[in-house]
Amino acid sequence: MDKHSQKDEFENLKKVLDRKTKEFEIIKQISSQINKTLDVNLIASAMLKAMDEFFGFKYSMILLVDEKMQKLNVLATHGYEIRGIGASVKLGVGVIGIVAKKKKMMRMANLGMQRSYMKAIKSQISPEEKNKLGNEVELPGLKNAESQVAIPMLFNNELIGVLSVESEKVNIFNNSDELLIGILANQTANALQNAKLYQLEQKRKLELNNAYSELEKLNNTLEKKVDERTKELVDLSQKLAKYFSPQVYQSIFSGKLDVKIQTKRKPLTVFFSDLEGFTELTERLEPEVLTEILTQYLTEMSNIAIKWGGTIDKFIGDALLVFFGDPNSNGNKEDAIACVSMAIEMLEKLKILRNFWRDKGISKPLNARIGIHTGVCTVGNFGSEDRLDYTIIGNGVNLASRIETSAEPNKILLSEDTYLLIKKNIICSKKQKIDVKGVSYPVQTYEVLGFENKYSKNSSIVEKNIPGLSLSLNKSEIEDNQTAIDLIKDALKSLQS
Amino acid sequence: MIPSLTLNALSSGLGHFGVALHGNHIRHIDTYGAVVDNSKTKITCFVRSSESVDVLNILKKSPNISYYVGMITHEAYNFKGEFKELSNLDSDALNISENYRKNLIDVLSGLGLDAEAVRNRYGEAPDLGITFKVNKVFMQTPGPKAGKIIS
Amino acid sequence: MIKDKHLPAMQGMFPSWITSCSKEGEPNTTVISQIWYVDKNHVALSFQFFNKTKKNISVNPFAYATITDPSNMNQYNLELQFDHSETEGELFDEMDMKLQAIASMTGMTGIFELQAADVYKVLSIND
Repeated sequence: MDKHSQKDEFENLKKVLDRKTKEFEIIKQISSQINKTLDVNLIASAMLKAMDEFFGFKYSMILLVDEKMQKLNVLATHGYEIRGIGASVKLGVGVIGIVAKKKKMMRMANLGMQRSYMKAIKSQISPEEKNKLGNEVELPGLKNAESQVAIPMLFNNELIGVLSVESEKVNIFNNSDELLIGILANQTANALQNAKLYQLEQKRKLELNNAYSELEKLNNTLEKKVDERTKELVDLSQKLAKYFSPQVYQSIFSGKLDVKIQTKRKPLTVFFSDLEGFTELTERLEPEVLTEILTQYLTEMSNIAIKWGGTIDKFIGDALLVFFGDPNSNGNKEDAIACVSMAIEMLEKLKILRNFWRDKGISKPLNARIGIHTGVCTVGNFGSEDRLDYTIIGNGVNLASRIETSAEPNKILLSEDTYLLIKKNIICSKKQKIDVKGVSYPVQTYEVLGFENKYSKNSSIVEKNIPGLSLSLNKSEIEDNQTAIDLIKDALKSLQS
Repeated sequence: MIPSLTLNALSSGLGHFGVALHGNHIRHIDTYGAVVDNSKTKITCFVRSSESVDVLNILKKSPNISYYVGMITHEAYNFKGEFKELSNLDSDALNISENYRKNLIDVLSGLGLDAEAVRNRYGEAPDLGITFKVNKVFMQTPGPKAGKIIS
Repeated sequence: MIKDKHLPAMQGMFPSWITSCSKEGEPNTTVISQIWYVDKNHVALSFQFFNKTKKNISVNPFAYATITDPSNMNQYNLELQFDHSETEGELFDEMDMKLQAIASMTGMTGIFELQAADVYKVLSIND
């Protein structure tokens, strides 16, 4: 080779090298530009703009494959009159569709001639056969494109989309262009993949945040619901409380008393009371007035019972059944004393109520009869599985009831068993023996007079008992002192003779 | 019988005249116009003798000919026959060729091909006529009917 | 053998024509849309339907082809000898993709199926 052609060759190579270097610089520039952003749209439009600016590729577009890998959607275009964003190409249709399907690049140099060739053939096909054919497809891009280079954008051999460059000129793209567009397609693929991953990341973050706030909301709702339910339960239990004696109620709700059919036998002090003459009142009074009286009476009595620690068993109309010793007990003696003390206070209260009712126009005074007995009873939940009654049964209960019927109005009558427990604290007078069904022996009864200390200070009451002699003197109740003195004188005379 | 529907292609399409002996002795040349005789049994192709050396050599030994004409619209026909004679081109033939070439240059330039290049290629007039008898005519338009005999 | 300057004539920009020969020595001249470049010594033709050329080649592997560079209308003549057919691989894919792209755009999918890429050895090419 002579010097001249050597020089030419050298010049050519230098030109090629310069061009390649320039291309490399530009590619680097474009690459850094698009990698700065994580916005998919920005990446695409920046790339296409750069391709025109630096390499003169006037018409270009980037399409992304959809999730189902069935079609490509136009992401960005450059140079076209109509932007065509969102237009789609089915995989396998047209240059872009085929490139996507086969994941191989394609360069077309004379699309016009190819199209007319196919059309010429198509025009010869018989109408029947024509029906079997597909329709001509409207594809995004230049209507009269002659040259086209379409390159698949791959990431880890997965198709992301297609980069397509078109021209109205025939055979305008050469090998060099092909290579260049290929490199740029790779750059775009990488940048898009990064952006996609970032977007996914953001989406996940958002989803996570949403899930978290949903959870928070749910939690709050649950808390609210729990509060509401608790309030409902409290209301309910408060309503129920009215049907139970406080001790029983407390025991049930504290869990000490298990709500099932279970009973036990233990010594209890049982209190019975009713109002003498109440039945007549029910016939005479208006129902509203009757209810008012009864409610007031029972409320006052209940308060006193609760105060002394008694378990209110039940109200039956004007009758009241209270017992001491279950569910809580302070000991037989203390329970008995408490019961009798309660009875004393009840009578005092009733006195006040009598005055109150008389002022209201109820002339007939209401008097209580009270009977108390201490003995072993069976106590617990009785009834069916669904409906339980916390109550007492047994002979002890019958005895208390029987004693009550023998009591004087506004008097407290005790059995001997109770008397023996309280006699140190409360003064009583011996009364008659009574027969009680189910009890083999007649029961000795005692009438409560008052508290011991009260008695010792109050000299108006004398209560002395020895075998054969029972002396009961209550000065406050003596209407005529002289009659009483004469009676004692007569008794004294018979003793001295 | 040369069908009249082929006349248009014969007078304005690109023509390629092919001959063969056996083995690797196969040649073809471009024609620059063609005419059909009155009896509609023979075609005379206009060629440049400078381009036809190999073809003429083969024709001496084997008379078989395949003459393909094709339009830009892809309408095309294949005439199969036997060599008859060579002839000089008279003024009529030259006129026909000139019109043919002018038309061809216009059409090809119109397609976007470089006008000067086209003129260079087809500008020079032919100087030889090759006449052959047509035995068979085939439809060569691409499609389902391609290869169908029409005469 | 095939040089860079020949390549623009092998892009299907301008039709090529090819003559093949039967067993009886009868020529068949026809036009094809593209002769594909394979390498310096090989070219390929797309085989879509069984035709006269294909039939001839099966009995006589030799053929004569002319390609045109559309930029300058230069013609190049090639003496060819059939070598082998390919039904898969890079060459087949390239041919197939081009065919499918155009066919799908004109709604002609299914009409044009690439049967094979026929590879020919280039015995000579004139400058």
